[in-house]
Amino acid sequence: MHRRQFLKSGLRAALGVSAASIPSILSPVLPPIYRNPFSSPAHAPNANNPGGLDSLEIGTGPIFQRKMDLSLFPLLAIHAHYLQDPRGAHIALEDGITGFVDAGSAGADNIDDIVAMARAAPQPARILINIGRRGVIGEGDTFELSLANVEACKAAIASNLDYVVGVKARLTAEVTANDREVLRRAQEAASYFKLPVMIHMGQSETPMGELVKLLKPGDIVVHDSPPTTHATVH
Amino acid sequence: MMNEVRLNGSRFDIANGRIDHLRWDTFDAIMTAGFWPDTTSTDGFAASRSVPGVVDLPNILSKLLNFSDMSLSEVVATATVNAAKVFPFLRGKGTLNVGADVDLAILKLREGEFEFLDNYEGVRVGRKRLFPFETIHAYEE
Repeated sequence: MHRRQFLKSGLRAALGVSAASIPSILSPVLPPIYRNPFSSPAHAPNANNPGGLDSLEIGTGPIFQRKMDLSLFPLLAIHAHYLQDPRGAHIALEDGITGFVDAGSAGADNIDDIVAMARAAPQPARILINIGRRGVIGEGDTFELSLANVEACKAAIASNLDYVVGVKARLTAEVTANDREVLRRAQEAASYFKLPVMIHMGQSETPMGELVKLLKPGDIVVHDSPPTTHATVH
Repeated sequence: MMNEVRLNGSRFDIANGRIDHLRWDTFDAIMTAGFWPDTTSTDGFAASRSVPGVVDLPNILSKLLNFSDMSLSEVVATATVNAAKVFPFLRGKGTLNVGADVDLAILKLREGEFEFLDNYEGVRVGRKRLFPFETIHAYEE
């Protein structure tokens, strides 16, 4: 069976639809389908889905459309670490992630490996380079301030402009020797290329209210709900 | 204060990661104040399924669905159209509009009793849970 025919018949079987009802936007070339290994069989009725998956409509316009208990939309994860493992991008795809950003797994010293993995990812994948030149490390990305090396970061970005989309600064107290200075250096490297900075918040030494004053439009604050005075609301 | 930062163009992501990130009382305070996240992420990595507080992105979206005033479409927006606005390479993605890539997460919204964990062993029971079912993507580069 031709690959396209195989995929198309697989989609019909999975979704329980007739050939005529396969949406036109899926033709003539049907894209690959990734099934979550923990999802129930498509045709199996159960307590939560008495009728099984008996129909599917894919339309245009709204960001998502629902039919029965199905929701359809592209799912984007702007803060992940799927590229720490060669299997990560495929696992993400099984979980519905159709595009993601690896947020600081690698720094200037190991950027090449992670760019190679981003290139190989089945979905669009890009990278935030860690201002700590060794990326995420057990001792703390910038536990020595010298690891936050602006020139090394800028050189790595310049060599990978097609894959680096910003700079990551992890500002947890155990991770960095000086949160303010590390953020300043991250901004210096990112601003040179007009890229955003993503700050990892939580248990930082400097209160979140002070650190966000160092952000520029387009920057991103992640982990805004920790149980400290550093949450966005407390 | 944080609203000023947001008005200045910074984005806030709830980022329910592996440890020390989300606790229900803080989550409640933020949601009660109406400071909804611009985007939702997981800190996801290859072994996230074995981290009870994370599991997958649909699980984190389900927390917002169950324990905030956000509607399903508002929750979904944080991981689709809003996320697509943050980085230029995602522009045009995050929608099912005409001309958009055929990238689809097919999720099942199930009703029942589902446990949701924060990062501090706090357990809540919610009535809805989005489950990843299949993913279709037409991406080529």
